[in-house]
Amino acid sequence: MMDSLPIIARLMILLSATLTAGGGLATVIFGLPALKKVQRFGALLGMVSCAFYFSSQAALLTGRWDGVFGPGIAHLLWQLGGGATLLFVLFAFSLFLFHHENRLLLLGKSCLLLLGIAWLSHLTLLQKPFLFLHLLLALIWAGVILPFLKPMTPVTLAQRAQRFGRVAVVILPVLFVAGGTLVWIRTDGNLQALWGNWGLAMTGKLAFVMLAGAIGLRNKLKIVPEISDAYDAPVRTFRSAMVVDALIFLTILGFSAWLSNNTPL
Amino acid sequence: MSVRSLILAAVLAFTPLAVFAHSVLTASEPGQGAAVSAPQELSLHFNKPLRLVFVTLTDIDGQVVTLDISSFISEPSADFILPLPVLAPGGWTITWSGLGTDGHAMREDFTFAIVPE
Repeated sequence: MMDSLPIIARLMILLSATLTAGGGLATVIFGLPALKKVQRFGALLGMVSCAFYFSSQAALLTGRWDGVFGPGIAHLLWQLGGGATLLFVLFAFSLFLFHHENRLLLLGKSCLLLLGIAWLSHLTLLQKPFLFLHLLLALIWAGVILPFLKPMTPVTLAQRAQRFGRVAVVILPVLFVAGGTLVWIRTDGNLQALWGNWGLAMTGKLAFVMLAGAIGLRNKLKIVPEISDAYDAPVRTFRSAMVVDALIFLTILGFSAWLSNNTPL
Repeated sequence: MSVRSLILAAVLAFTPLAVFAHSVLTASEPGQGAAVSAPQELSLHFNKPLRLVFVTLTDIDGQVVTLDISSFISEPSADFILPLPVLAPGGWTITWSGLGTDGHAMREDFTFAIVPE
């Protein structure tokens, strides 16, 4: 059970980043309605997640739920377990407690948050920029889901969805290349790893990304062109697809949290 | 362009994996499942350096013996040799936890048995 705590904490951090940075960027890039309450909730969840991550590391080390209070443990983790970076991420989350419409400011604090999360990872200096790019694009993609569920006229919905569809054509390949490069750098040419749990989880994540891509492609080519004021069914289908997308992305975040906490074997 | 990128990504994503990002216990003495008599020390060998934080031994009744590793915490190492106290015959579980040089916290355990001489 304690082995799972850091994974749960990472999942919470990724989910919070999706709600804050991802949702915020998606709303300004694609002109979607802002989700102020959701972003504030995401900011709070992110801050709690940082504290939870720190204490989960302590619990794992000591084998005790209250391990963070053990002698020297908090000090050890602060010095060697990324304590300062975690505080930076917590600070970046706190910036999302305050809502504003300035795009540059939003981009700035989103980049700060994602830089912090990339830095928090156990990757090398060379890998972190790829993780940053991967996170940025993935969270923008996932960030559109909830704003698309907000009430808006069918015409507006169609316009925003078309705008997202045009950008998604660029996001998806770059996302794959950044993720693929990350795997390429992180690993070193041994087929055995693919037969292990890490390889299976990576394949599972890839399958769900492909599924999300397929749903997006269907939306772009079939559902969105049918959206109009006169006909309600395509809007309902589109929103249902967004709900399914939300579940898929949650699963992808779960895979990502597990993968980042484990190593290829 | 995007088709090429997708093909490249698929190739890269399925390209074999081997570098171990985190430390892994590769050998120990006593080893996993070993039956030994009166071991004097415990040796742990990892594939990458880490800082040991805790090493405990637990017998089948749940009695815990915590090894003193205070001299090891400050410096990361891939090899550790720890003196063992006199242990009663029976099954024992060794639990170790450590911080990798990348800050990753780890905790694992393995069992061995002490047989009467």
